Amino acid sequence: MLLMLYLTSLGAQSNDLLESISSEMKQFNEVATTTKQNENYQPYIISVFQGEELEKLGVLNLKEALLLVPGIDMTTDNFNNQTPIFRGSNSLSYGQSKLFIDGVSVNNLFFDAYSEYLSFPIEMIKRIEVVRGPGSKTNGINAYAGSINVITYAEDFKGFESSDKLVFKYGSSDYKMGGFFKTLKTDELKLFIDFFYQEDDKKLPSGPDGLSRGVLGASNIPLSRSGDAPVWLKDYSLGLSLEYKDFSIKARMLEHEKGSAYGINLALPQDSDRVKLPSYYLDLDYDKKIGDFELNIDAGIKYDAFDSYSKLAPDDLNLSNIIFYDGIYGEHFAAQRTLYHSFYIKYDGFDKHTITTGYRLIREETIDMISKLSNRATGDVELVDYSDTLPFFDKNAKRNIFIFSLQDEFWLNNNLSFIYGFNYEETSYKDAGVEPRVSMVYQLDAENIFKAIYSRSHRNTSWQEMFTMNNLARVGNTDLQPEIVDAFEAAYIKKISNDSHVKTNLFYLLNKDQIYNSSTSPEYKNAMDSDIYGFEIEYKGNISNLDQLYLNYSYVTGESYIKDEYRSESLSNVAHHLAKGYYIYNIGRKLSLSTTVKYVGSKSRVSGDTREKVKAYSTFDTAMRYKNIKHNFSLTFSIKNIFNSTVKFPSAINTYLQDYEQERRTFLVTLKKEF
Amino acid sequence: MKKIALLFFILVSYVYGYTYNKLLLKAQASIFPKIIMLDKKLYEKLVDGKIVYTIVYEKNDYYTASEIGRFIEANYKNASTKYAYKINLVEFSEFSSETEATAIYVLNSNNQVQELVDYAKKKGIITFAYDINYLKSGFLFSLMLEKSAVIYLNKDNLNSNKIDFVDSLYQIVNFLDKSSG
Amino acid sequence: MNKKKFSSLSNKIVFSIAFVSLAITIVVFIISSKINKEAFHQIEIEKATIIAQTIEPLIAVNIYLEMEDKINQIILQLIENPNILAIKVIKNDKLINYIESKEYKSDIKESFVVKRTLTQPNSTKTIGELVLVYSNKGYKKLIAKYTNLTLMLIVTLVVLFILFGLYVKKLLRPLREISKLLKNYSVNKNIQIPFISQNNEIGLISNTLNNMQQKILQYSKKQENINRFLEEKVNEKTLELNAQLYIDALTGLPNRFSMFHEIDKIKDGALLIINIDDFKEINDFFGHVAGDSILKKFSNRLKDIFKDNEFISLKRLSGDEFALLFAQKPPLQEFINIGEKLIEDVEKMLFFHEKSEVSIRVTIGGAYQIEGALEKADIALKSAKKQQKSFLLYDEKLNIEDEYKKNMEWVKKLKKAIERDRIVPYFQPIFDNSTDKIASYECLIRLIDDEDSVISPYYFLNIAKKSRLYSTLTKIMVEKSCIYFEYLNYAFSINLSVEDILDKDVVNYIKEKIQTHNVANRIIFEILESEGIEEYEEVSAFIGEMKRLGCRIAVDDFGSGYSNFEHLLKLNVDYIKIDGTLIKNLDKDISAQIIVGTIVDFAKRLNLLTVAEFVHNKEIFEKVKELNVDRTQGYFLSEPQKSTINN
Repeated sequence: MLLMLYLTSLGAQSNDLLESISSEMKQFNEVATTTKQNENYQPYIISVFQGEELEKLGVLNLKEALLLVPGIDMTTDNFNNQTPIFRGSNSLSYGQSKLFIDGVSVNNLFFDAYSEYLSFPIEMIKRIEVVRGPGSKTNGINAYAGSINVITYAEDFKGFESSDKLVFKYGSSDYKMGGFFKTLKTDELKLFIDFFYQEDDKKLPSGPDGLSRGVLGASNIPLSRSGDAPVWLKDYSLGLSLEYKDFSIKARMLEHEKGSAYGINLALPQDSDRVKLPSYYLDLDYDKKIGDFELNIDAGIKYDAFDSYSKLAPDDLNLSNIIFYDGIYGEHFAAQRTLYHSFYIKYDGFDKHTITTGYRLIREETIDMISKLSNRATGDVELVDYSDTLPFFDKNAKRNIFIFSLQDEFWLNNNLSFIYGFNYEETSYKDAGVEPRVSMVYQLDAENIFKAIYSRSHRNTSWQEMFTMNNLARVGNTDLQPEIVDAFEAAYIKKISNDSHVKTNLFYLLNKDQIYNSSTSPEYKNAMDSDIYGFEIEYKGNISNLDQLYLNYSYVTGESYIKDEYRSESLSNVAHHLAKGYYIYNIGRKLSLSTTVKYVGSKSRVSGDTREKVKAYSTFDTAMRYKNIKHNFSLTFSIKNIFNSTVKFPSAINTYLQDYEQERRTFLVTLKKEF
Repeated sequence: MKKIALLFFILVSYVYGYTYNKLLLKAQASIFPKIIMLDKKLYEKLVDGKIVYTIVYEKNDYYTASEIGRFIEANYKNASTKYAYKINLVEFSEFSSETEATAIYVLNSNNQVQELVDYAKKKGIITFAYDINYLKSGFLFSLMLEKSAVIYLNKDNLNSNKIDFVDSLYQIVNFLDKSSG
Repeated sequence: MNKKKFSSLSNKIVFSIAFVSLAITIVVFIISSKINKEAFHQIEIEKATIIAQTIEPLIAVNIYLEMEDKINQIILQLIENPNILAIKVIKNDKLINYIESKEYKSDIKESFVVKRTLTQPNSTKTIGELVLVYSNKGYKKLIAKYTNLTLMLIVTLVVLFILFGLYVKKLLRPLREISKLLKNYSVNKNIQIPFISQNNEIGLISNTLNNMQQKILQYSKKQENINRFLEEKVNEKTLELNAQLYIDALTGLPNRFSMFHEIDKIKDGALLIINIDDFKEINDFFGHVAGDSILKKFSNRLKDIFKDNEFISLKRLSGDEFALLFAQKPPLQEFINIGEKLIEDVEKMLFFHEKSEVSIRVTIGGAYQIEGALEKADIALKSAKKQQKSFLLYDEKLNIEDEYKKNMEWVKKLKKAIERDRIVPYFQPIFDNSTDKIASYECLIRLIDDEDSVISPYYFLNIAKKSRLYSTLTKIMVEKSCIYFEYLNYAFSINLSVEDILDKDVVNYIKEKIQTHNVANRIIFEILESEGIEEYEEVSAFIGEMKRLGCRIAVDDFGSGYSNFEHLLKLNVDYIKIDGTLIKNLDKDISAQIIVGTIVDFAKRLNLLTVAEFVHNKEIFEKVKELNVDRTQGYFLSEPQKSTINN
C-alpha cells in the first residue's frame, strides 16, 4: 500500500519501456562479451583484431596477423615449424602458446605446435583474440605464455549475421588461393561450411647447411651446401559447423603439405622433399541453460601426424666408413590421436557470484609409426623399414590427463570485480598439480580501468620431448617436469573516447623448469629457470574522423639460470624491443589506404654461440583497398616489405651457419565477393 | 524479438567514414529512442505531434547516419507507441536554430558542437551522443559497452525545467558531473 | 508409628497438572511477550525502514539533480501516512527539508527514528541523509491487544482446572471406598466389594479383587498341607544325614569325625591308635576287594574283643587305622596290657582270601591322656614304626628335638670315623647253590667306633645321606673294596644308591678305581630295585656304561617295591637279589614261596641269576634250594666278616 503510493508517478508504459531497455542492454552486453568488444573490462591482457580490419591492411594469414600483436615475435626451425614467441618465452620449445579455432584446441600432439594453422587465410577469420600471459584458461586447458582464439565466421548472433564470402588471392612466389564460406540456416538448424585451397612455390636462400658445422661428422663437412630451401606450401581445409538446438558440432580437415625447408638432419633437402602436417578434429558440444545453471558438455577427437619424406643427407656421405653414394633418404611418419571430454557447470544463483566448475579428461596416444631409411648397413639408397629395429619415435606413446577446475567470479560492485579459482591437473607422467589464479578488475570511472592478475600455469611436455628415439640430435625423456610459470601482471587502460584508448601493462614471469636440449646435450632436460619482465603499451584511435591509427610497443628482458652449469645469462634469441603499428586512411566510402610498420629489435645469442647478434629490422607494408558497394565486392592490393629489408629468424647454435632468412618484398592481390 | 533481430540485419553492411563500433551504434539506436519516451514533458517537445529524432553527422558519415535512421524507422513503423516517430538527418554544417528536433543524436565530428548544445539546452531538446566525450561538451546521454552496457547521463546538462524523466530511469543510469571529470 | 495423614491422589494429580499448565502458560507468556514485543517493535521499524528505503533513491536522485520542488512533493505525500511524525532531508550537512505531521506533538513521546544515508545514484558518494520520525502507536496497540488475550487465556485456564479437579475427584471416589473395605481384609475373611455392577475401571477392579479373594483362600489351604509334609521329610533326612556323618560305611564303625565329636565330651580318657602294618602290600598283592574284606573282618574281630567293655569304643580313623577310645582312663598298666595283648591277638589272627591265608601285624601308638590324645597317639605310633616297635606309649621324650640331637651326634661320629679311616668294608660270601662254593662277596659298610664296636649302617646311612657324606662313604667303599680284591680271584659286589649313580663325580671315581685296580671283570654293582624309577634313563645309561667296561649289575631287594619286570628287562642286569623280607619267612609263608617261585622262574627265562639273602636258618636254606634260587647269602651260611674266608 505504501509502496504503491510512491510509485504512482510511474505509468505502466514507462515500466514496459524500462524493462525493454534493460533487456536490450543485457542482450547487447552478451554479444559484446562473446565478441570481446568489452575486452578492456576482462580479467586478462588481451588484444582483439577484427578480420575485416586486417583485410584492409592486406594481411595474408594468421601468422601475419599475429605479428601485429604487442609482445609477439616469430621464430622458426629447420622444419620451418614457425612458432610465435610471446613476451620472450622459451623460443626453442613449442606449445607455450595454444591455438583455438572456434574454441577447439588444435595444437598438434607431436610438437605441441600449430605451424600448420599459421597459414590460415585471413579472409576465413572473423576475429583473433590474443591473450598474453597464462591468464586465459579455456575450459581447463592451460596456456603457458599466451593463447590465440581464432573465431571463424561460423560465429553468429541474431542481428549480426555475416554474409557469405568468396575469395581469390594471388601473390609473390606464384601464391594462389581460393576459398569460400557459406551459412545455411533454418529456424532450428544452422550449417556453416568453409573451404580454402592455397599453394605457392616459395624458396628462401639458406646455407651453408648444418653439415658445415659437422652435424654429420667432420668427414662430411666438405659435403655442406648452400642454396634455396624449399618452403613451398600446398594446403587445403574444409571446415564444418553445425548447430541444432543446444547441440553443436565443429569439424575440420586440414591437409597441410610443405617443403622440407632446412632438412630434418640439417642437410639442405631437395626441392620436392616434403613434410605433411595434417590436422583433423571433430568436436561435439552441448550447451544448456537450466535456471541459474549453465551446463556445458564437450567431447571430441583430434588427429594429427608428422609425415616427412625427404633426402636426409647428400650424395657420397660417409657414415662410419659406409659410403652412401646416392645420399640418405628417409620416411618418417607418426600419427597421433587425442580424445577428450569435458563437463563444466556454471552457476550464478548467488548474488554477485558466478561459480564455474568442471573437469576435462584427455587421452593422447600415438596410433601409427613408420621409420624408413636408406640401408644403413650397405649404404644402398633403397629404403629399408626400420620401424621395429630403429624407430625414430616410441609407437606406444600414451598419456592420460585429468583436469579439475573451480572458479568464482565475484562482482563486489559496479566498479570492482574479482575472479579467483584454481586448476588441478593429474597426468600419467609428472603432474603440475594445483594452480591458482586470482585477478581483479577495477573501473575507476568511464575512462580509467585497472587490472591486476596473478596466475600459475604450466606447459606439459610435448610428444617430441618425451618420445623421440634413436636420434643423435634429440633424445626423448619421460621424466620431465612440466614447465611452470608464475605470472604477475598489472594493466592500466585509459579510454580516450568510445573508440580510442591507451592500454599498458607490466608483466613479471617466473618460469621454472624450462625444457631444452642442444647438440652437445641432446637429451631434453628441465634445464633452465627464467625470470622475464617487461611491459607493453598499445594505442588505438584516430587522428581525424577519417582514419584509424594503431601503435604498440613492447619491451621485454630477463635472465635465465642454467641449472646444470650454475650460471645465469641474459635472455637469448629474444628481441627486447618490438614496435608495431598501422594507419588506415579512408578516402570516401570506397577507397582506403593503409600502411603497416613493424620493428623487431636485435637478439643476442645463447652463450657459446659466437655469431653476431641477430640484427634488428623493420618492415613497411602498404595496402590499398577498393570496395564496390553496389556489387558488394572488394579488391585489395598490397606490397609488403617495400624497402626490401632483410628479415632473419635465428638458427640454433651449430646448425645452419646463417640465420633463416625470410621473404623480402612481396605483393598480394585479393578479390573478395560477399553475398 | 524476431522483428528486432530482423531489423538489426539492415545495419550489417560495412561503410567507410569514421570506423564506428557497429554493435555500439546498434545498441544506441535501439535504446536512445526509448529513453525519449520516458520524459514526462515529452508533449512539450513534439513537432506536429511527432517525435522528431534528428541525427547530426559529418558528410563522410552520411551512410552511417542514414543506416541508423532506417533502423529506427523500421523499429517504430509498427510499434503502438503514443506518438509517431520521424527521423531527421542533418549534416553538422547545416545545423541551425531552424532545425526541428525532439531529440538530437550526434555522430562524431571534427567541428565545434557548442552552438548545437546551447540551442538544445534552450529548447529542452534531449541530446544523445555516440561518443561519451560529447557529454563533456554538454550532451545529456551516451551509452557504452563496458563490462555491462551502461547509459551515461551528464547531470550538469540536465535542464530540469524542460526535461523531467520518470524517477526509475535515474536508477539505471550512471551519472557524470563536474566532480567526476 | 503415627498414622499418616491421608492425602488424595486425585487432588495431587489435578493440582500438579494445573500447576504445570499454569507455569507453562506463564513462562510461555513471559517469553513470547518478550519475543513478540521485540518482533512487534521490529515490524514497526521495518515498516519505517521500507518506507525510507523506497523513497531514499528518489530523494537522492532529486537532491543530486537539485530538484528540490520534487523532494517537497514526495515529502508532502509521505507525511500523509499517519505513522510518520516528521521527515528531515539533509543535503551535505544542510537541512533542506523539514516537515511535521499534525500528530507530532501528541505522539512524539512514543516514537523512534530511522535514518538513511543518501548516496549519489550508482555511486557510493554520500550526498545527504534522510530522517524519518515514526510513531510507535501501532506497536502500543498491538501490545495491549496481546496482553488482554493472554490474561483471558489464564483466567479461562484456572476455571477449567477447578472444574476438572472436581470431576476427577468424583470419578475416583469409589476407589477410596474400596480401600476402606480392604483395610480389614484377612485371608479367611471374605469381603463383599460393591461397584461390581459398574461398567468401568472401578467395576473391573472390584471384580478382580473378589476373584483374588477366592484364589488367595484356596492357595492358603494348599500351602498349609505342603508345609506339614515338608516338615516330616526334613526330620527324616536330618536323622539319616546324622547317621551318615558319624559312621564309617565299610565297617559300620564310628568314624574319625565321630571320634572328634566324642573326644570333646570325655574328661579323663585315653586313646590307642592301631595301624595295620604294610596293609598297602595286601592291597597290592590281593587287590582292594580283598583288602576291604580283610579290613571288615579285622574290624569285626576288634569289635568282638572289646564288645564287653563299656568304656572302650572302637573307631575307624582311616584306611588301615583304627582307634580305641577310652571314656575312662584305666590304670596305666592295664592300658599297656590292653595294647600289648591286642598285638598278640592280632598276630594270631588269620584271614582268608580265596584260600590264601593272610596274617597281619599291627603297630599301636597310645596316649594316656585325653588332651591332644589323637596327635599324641599319632606321634607315638610314628615313633613306634620308626623304632620298629609294635607298641609305644606317648611320652614327652618322644619329641623331635631328641632325635635331632641324636642325629648331630651321629654326624660327628661319622665324620670322625671318616677322618680316622674307620669306615671299612665287611665281606659276606655268596654261595653258589649248585656247588655250595663261594661265588662272590658282598662288600658291606661298617663303622668301627671308638670302642672298636662294629656299627651297622642301619644307624648311620640315613644320616650320611642327609649330611652329604654319603658319596664319601661310597668312594671309601669302592676304593677299599677294589684294593682288597685287586689280587683276589673273587667277584665282589658293592651297593650303589641312585644318588651315587646320579653323581658324576662318584661315577668317574668308580671308573677310575676299577681300571686302576683292574677289577672291572669281577666287580658287581648292586642297585636297589625300589629306587631309580624316576631316574630310569640315567640309571640305564650308567648300567650300559659299566657293562661296556665289563662290570656286572645286580638288582638288590627285588620284590620289595613295585617290581616292574619290564624295567628289569630293559636295564639288562645280571643278578636279581630277592628281597630279604620275602626270604626270612619263606619256610612258613606260602605266598612268599609263590612270589619267590615266580621271580626265579622269570629270572631263569631271562637268563638272570637269582640270589636269596637273609637266609638265617636251615629250613629257609632248603626252601631256597628247592625253589631253584641260584645263590644264597645269609647268617646261616656266613656272617659278614672283616676279611674273606680265605684270609
